[in-house]
Amino acid sequence: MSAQPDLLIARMKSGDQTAFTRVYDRYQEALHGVIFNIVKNKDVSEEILQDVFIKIWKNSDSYDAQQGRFFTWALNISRNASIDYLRSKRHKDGLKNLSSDNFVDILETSDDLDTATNAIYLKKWIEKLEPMCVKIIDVIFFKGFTFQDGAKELDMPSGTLKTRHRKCMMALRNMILN
Amino acid sequence: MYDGIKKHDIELMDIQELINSGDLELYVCGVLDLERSIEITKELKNNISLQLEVQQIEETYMKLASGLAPNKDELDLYDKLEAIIGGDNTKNNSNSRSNYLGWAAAISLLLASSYLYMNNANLTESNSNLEEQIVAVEQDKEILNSEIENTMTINNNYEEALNFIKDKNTVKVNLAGQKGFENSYATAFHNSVENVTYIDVAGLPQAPQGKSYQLWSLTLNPLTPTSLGVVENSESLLRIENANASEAFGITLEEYGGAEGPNLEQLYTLGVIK
Repeated sequence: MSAQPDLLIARMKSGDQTAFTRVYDRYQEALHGVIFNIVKNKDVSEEILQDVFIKIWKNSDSYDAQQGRFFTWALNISRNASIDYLRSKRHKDGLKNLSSDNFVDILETSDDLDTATNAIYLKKWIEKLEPMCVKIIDVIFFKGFTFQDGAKELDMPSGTLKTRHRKCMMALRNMILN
Repeated sequence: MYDGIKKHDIELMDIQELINSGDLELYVCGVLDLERSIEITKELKNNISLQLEVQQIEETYMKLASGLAPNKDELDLYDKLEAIIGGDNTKNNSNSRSNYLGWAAAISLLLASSYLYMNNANLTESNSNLEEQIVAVEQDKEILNSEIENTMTINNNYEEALNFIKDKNTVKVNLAGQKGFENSYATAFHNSVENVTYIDVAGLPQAPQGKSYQLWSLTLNPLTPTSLGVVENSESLLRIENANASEAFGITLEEYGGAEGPNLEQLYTLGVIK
């Protein structure tokens, strides 16, 4: 387990490009996964990932540690950029529609993930997860719904959603980190 | 004694309650409202077990999301990114220059000699490019090493502090704000077997320019202060060797660097070991 690299983030904020490279190395894969889960297209996901890191580099000053984790900040940028893309004309003109697939559907059906080692591990973990957990984690983490909106989407009280989300994450965490 | 235990228990309960509430997961997901996120960041600052919890939550999400990242040509992607953010300013015009000089050399010896001269300049330039790259790699290494070192130190300090706080001989002493400084507070953890005290002064306002906070160990009958040194405003726990028979702790504001004896007019916080 590693702490947030505050030193690197501070150096990146002051314009140190080497620090930016390290920050990129640390976060790019997870952010790429979040983006791909939303746009479902490898080439587009790479373009958006690139745009996200350009935003991170240009706007790193606006990251305020008082408001939360660096990962959370970057996660929001990634989700917003992906959702903006889906709403854009370019998307509507040709590519796939916004579907209600969750991350497990994508994990199981996407050819682009067939050979990815991380995906192979993830499949093993997900098999042991309750189906409701998949829906909950998809809505809260990947799609970034507030828990009130997520509760509406999943048709359960928001308090229940919050505690179930915690339980699901604990189950996943025991598999992933142990 | 009962008061101390009660308060300590309540704090532990609050922490467990926060962990169980599911809010920390939502905090990492970025779906809480801003006000609640800021509150949680504040809670985290003063609590190592909460920090560890959040790190584990974050790591789980990161691993989960990484499982959905398609394979890609990472170098190519980073090169494109680097070109856009304008980092690679290395001039790369040696080809056109060589071609031009090659042509010129065919015309006259004078130009041929200048070709040799310029070719040498090219070599010097590519040599200096290589040198720049070496410097960049070294800087890279330096940053990584210092990151590892920092992380290791932080981890070791956390672990040490956590073990110390958990030790059965460690007592927690709440240093309450005194008259005129009611909003200030500090927390000491004292272990009279190990002769060590940890002090957390995150609840003191920033010391004014030219002043320092000073920590005192006190015996009560008769009231005798012994200086434990100057403490900087800091969010992390400060470790102090303390072989005194401490019965209470106080913090005063003194001239920069500390004083021989405490200035009781400027007694910010005080707490008795119960």
